[in-house]
Amino acid sequence: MPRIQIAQLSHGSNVTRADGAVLRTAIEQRWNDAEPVILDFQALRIASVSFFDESVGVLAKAHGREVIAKRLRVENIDSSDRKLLNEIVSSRAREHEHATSGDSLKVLLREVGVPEDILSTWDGTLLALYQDHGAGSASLEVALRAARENAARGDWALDLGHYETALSREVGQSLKEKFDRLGVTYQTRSLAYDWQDGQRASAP
Amino acid sequence: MPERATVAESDAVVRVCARAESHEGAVILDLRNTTFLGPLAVALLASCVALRARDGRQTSFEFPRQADPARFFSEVGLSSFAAGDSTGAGTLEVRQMATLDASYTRAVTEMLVRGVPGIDEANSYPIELCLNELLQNVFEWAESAVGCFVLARWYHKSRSVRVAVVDRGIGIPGALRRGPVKRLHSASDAELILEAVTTPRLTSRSNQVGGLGLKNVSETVLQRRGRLTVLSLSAKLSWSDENLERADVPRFGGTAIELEFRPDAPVERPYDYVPVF
Repeated sequence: MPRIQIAQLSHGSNVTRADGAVLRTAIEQRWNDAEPVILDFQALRIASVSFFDESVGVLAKAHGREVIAKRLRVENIDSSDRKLLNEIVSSRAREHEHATSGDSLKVLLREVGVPEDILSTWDGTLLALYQDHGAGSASLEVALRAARENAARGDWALDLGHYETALSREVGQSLKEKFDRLGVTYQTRSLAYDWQDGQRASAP
Repeated sequence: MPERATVAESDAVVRVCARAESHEGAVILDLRNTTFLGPLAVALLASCVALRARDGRQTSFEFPRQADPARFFSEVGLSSFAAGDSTGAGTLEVRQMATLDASYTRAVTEMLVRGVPGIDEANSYPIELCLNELLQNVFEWAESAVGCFVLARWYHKSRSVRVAVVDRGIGIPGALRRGPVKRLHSASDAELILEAVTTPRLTSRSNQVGGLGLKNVSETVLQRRGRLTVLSLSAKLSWSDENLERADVPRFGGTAIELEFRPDAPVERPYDYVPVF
């Protein structure tokens, strides 16, 4: 397996972000090798968030934890350094996961026809997907009738807070499955429940 | 100089430094009545001397009258520093650094491991980590024309280490106001220091990762029930236990940080991650 002796590479400079960038470059040169790269910390104590963050943290943010676990091994690392490195990699990998899930979610929303200008102004906090068995009206009678019609069609509603659209039974069901697979958090009822004053009915 | 010159009186020390720095001629800093001098005050005074020396102005000290502060004053090498002699070769002395010298931080921790019962390789780690992060911040962001001034001291009575790092650059608020986070551009100095210390991944770097250093330092100190004080531009914030104290201070061009903690204090830190390595 390709091995990077950190002590040889850094010549005693293993504290700053610039030092970390040197290690990252060395790792990236071996990134496409068939075997994982071994980072050998023999005879070193790093004790630097900056160094670890700029070297392995940046890679964790770019590629995520699974890729890092596959591509990199560490050997002869000080136990406190190991803890620190794990903390940094986990923190940056969470950023990667967050960014990835956000991007994937927008792809799904684009696929079901959410316009680009709506997506560009959506901050990701408000999201609801639900089978639309309800209807709202100032009159309870009208609301009940509309609710029965909605339930019969089996349509879904997708609500982004500042934008709402109806989805067919198939599209809605498929989107729900994709959301669940992706681990997306979303409300399963209308966001309007939170602030609507009018009458609202729900068909059984 | 005030009678006590600990971190609590740092605003008074800043005032003395400002007065000395605005004076054109030779200045004598009078410490005769000072009975207690903390690391932050030493580093602040050293920075004042260095700024004046850069402009060719002479600064000297009157020693404290009392034996204990006089001994401390001598140990930290302020007089030698003011005379233009090299200091900091022994890690007990205040040191002016122009670049991040990892051998210095290693030497400080090794000295503690050798000289202080109960301090070992493992529990000296947070000291080295904090020193490295504070220095990394200075040399990446501070734009300090005179580098930085560092003093690390061990206090037997409290069994704690105190580390002071002072630079004379643009200040933490100044760096964040230049950064990519727009909401910070109009925030107050105190708000910006608070953000820098408590917000993970907040950085003035554009399109790059960053912002873990100072947050990590504060966690390291506070998890050990220590104290962290950050003074920059017109604000001073001090964290200890659950408390945060804020104070307005006379404007200080740069950043002065002092941290104090027991390296061997038990840390209950729940790990919220699955290790990769």
